[in-house]
Order: sequence, then structure tokens, then C-alpha cells
Amino acid sequence: MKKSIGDNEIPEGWSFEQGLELVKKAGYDGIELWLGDVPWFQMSTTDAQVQELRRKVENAGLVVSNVSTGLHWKYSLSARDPNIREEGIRIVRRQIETAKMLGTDAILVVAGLVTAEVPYNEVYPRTVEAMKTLAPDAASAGIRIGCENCCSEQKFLMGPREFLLFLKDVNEPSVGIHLDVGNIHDDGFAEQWIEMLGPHITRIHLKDVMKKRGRCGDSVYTNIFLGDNNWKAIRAALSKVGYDGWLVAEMERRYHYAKDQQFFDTAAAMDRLIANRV
Amino acid sequence: MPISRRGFLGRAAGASVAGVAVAAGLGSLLAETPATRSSCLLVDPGPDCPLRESATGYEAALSSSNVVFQRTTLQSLTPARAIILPAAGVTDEKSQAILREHLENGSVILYESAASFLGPEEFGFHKRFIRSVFGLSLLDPVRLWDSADSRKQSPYVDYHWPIVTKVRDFSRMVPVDPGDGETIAWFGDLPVAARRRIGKGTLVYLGSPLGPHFLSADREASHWLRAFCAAS
Repeated sequence: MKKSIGDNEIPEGWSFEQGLELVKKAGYDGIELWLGDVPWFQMSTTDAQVQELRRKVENAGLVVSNVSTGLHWKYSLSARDPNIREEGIRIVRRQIETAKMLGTDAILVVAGLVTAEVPYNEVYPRTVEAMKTLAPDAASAGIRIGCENCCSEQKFLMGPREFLLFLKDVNEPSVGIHLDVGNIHDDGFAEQWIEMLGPHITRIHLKDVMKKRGRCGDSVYTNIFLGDNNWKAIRAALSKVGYDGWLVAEMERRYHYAKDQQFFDTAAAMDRLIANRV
Repeated sequence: MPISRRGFLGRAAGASVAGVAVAAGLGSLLAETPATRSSCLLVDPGPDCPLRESATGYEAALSSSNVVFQRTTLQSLTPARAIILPAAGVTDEKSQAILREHLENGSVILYESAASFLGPEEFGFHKRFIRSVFGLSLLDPVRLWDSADSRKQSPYVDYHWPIVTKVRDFSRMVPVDPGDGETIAWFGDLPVAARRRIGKGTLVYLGSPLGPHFLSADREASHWLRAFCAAS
């Protein structure tokens, strides 16, 4: 397995080049690029500028592990307004294009968003339809779309069996799950998600979660090994399903001081997980 | 102009006799119909429709309800007992005349408005058309989920005709003053659907889209459509 971390973790005020240097120095193999979440990679970023990003990544001795985005929280693929859905589709298509340009084969999409306004039974068919619409684009570009399990925030596809049924309804090999082992909170067990969805996993986000904390007030997320995930079980499940792909750190809780130190500490934790020394 | 529930009840009492007469006179779409007159026509809203999924929803719901229907376009409408226009928006003058003619000749037209998804200029055009051809007054579209208090409201539209039921809102709606017709659905205190006799026919105007709910297997929405077909 290889280690990666998001470019949205690069401390504020640092340049992309400074961030790449830090990522390499901390021992990562790759970097996850977040479309729309960082100044250097926006929807308005041209193809030439994307190629330049790739050159910088490779010059730093890294590769791009995947292209993610948080834009679908605003431009949901399951919105009632067709104009918003259209923009959501346009974002995924740009992710696919840029992923190909950046030399990676996976993107992360927050697919479907249940709210008080837009109920589950509307979100489900629209999301299936959106994935069926996008799957041929992804397949022809050699890209896999990983729908992330943001269970608590999305209120959608809350369990592993539900997620599996969704993927079966989509029924496209180019659509799978970008599994975040920190997003399962108190509603399940990450190792069971890995086991049930193994062949469908495109990438894995790593972070830890403090269960039973709720979401009122402070974040439930924390650094790897500090929370309540069963990391021995997670590591064993990864072996069981034969996952040998990218592990991508997503540290939602940032250090208050010595911000670069989080990159080193996280990389060290990931090394121990990969080496099965938990 | 807001319409109070008390005002609605007064108008409904006056209009109910006409409504019953229509339902009784036209029979049911679910029954066999003469070959010269289609039972139900589903009008394709065209590529510029702001809410195409609504048309898809009606087609799915009619099919699953075993309603005999044909797909058509507004320009090629033939005589029919019921004509359904899903997600209707801007309508040109020629089409307006066609609709009026079908109403005069006794059709029941279900006109589902997608006008709340139009821009201000297009909505103004839609509003004038509805007023001049159908005699209904539209209020400005309402966005139901934009306020801080929206989470405290009930998300359901209350239908009183052809059955009493609740169907979810669709985020935006166009309140409608029925004039001498009848309000058939409310969202809170907002009248959002109307029924009015025009010539020998009847217009049913829906200010809150129903079509998308058919795709999400909303049972009550489907019951409403079946009841509409049965009453037509």
C-alpha cells in the first residue's frame, strides 16, 4: 500500500511547491489534489496549468494519488434544481479530465445529499442516474469514480449493505466507493465496510473518529490511533480483501502549533498500519 | 394577493357542484374509451423544459397505474378526455389557443407548472398567459427552504381534490388565486393548486410540481394521479 495526503492539508499561506516539499520530506508517495478547495486547483484552472501542477508534483518526487472535491456539497448531484445538478455533473467531468491529465485513475465524489428539504427517496434515484450518466465518461478515460461514504454528513447510504446495493443498482465497473474509515462514527465498524465492499474500493481515506461524542460542538475526528476505530481489525480486513492501493490521510483536525508536524506524525502512523505493527 | 383558508372555503362551496358534474360526466380513464377520442394524452414539455424529470415521472406513474395514454406534443394535440402537461413553463400564443380550444370542447387539462424554476421575465410571461387563457391569478414564486425557519415547517402540500392526501413540496411553488374556480391544494396558508371550469372542460393547475415525486415512489402522489385519472 502507498501513502498519500491531501493538498488541502497544506498549511495556510504555504505555496503548492512548499507543500509538496513537506509531503515528500514526511515520507509520502503521493498527493491527493482537491479541485475547488485550494487556490492552485480550481474549476477555472486551465489544462496547461493542470499539466504544470503535474510537473511540479513529479519534480517533487511524488505522484497524484487521486482527484477529490468538496464542491458537491454545494452543487449536489441529487439537488432538485436541474441547474445545480448540471453544474455537479460538470464538476465530475472536470475531475475525470484532470485526473487523466494528472496521471491518476481515481476521483472522489460526494454523491447524493439527503437534507430536510430533499428526502432520501428522491436522492437515491437521482444519484443512481447521475452515476450511470457519468460512468461512460469515466470508463473511456480509464478513471474510477469513488463515491465517498460521508454517512453522518450526507445522511445517505448509511450502512455497508446499503452502499453495496447502491453500487449494484448503478452496475458500472467504473463506479465504486472511496471508503473513509473515519466517517462511520457510531453507526458501524470500518472493518465491516472494508470486508463487504472490498472489490469496489477505489481509494481509502484514513482518519480516526471519537465515537459517542456526537457532532454538537467539537469535531469527532482525530488523528490516526487517537480515536475509537479498531485499527487492528481495519488492517486485518485490508489484508482479507487484498487491498493494496492508496491510503490517503485526511486529517480534519489540524495541529494548533507546528502545523507541519502533523504530516510527519500521520506518515509515521500510516507506516505502522501498513507494516501491521498496530 | 394571499388567499385565506376562510376565503377558500367560500369559493370551494360555490365551485363544488361544477366539480362533481365534471367528474360524473366524463367517467374514468381507466375504463374503455371510444376510439375517436383518446383517453389521456401526455404532452412532452420539449427540450427547454426547466424540469424534465417531471415528465419522466408522469410517464412512469401512468404506466405503472395501467392508464391508457399516448405521448404527444402540444402542437399535435388531438381530442382527448384528459391532457396532462407536466412541468409546463412558457407557452407560445398558438399553443395557448390550442389549449383553450381543447378546454372549450370538454377536455380536462392537468397543467403542472414549472414556472417557479423560470427566470423573472419568463415567469412574467407565464403569469400573463395563465391569467388571459385560464383566468387564474398567479402570485410570485415562493422558495420554501431559503429561510432560517424552513426546518420548522411541514414539508407537505395538502390536497383536497380529487382525494384528500399529502404530497411533499418541491422546494419552489407558485401560489394561485383560483378566481371563480376552486382551490384544491394548500401549503400552509398558501393556495397552490386550483381547478376551474372553462367551456365544457376543466383546468387543473398545479403550482407545486408532482412529477418528480412519482420517480421517488411517493405513494400518495401516485394515488393522487390515479384519482385524477379516475375522475377524468
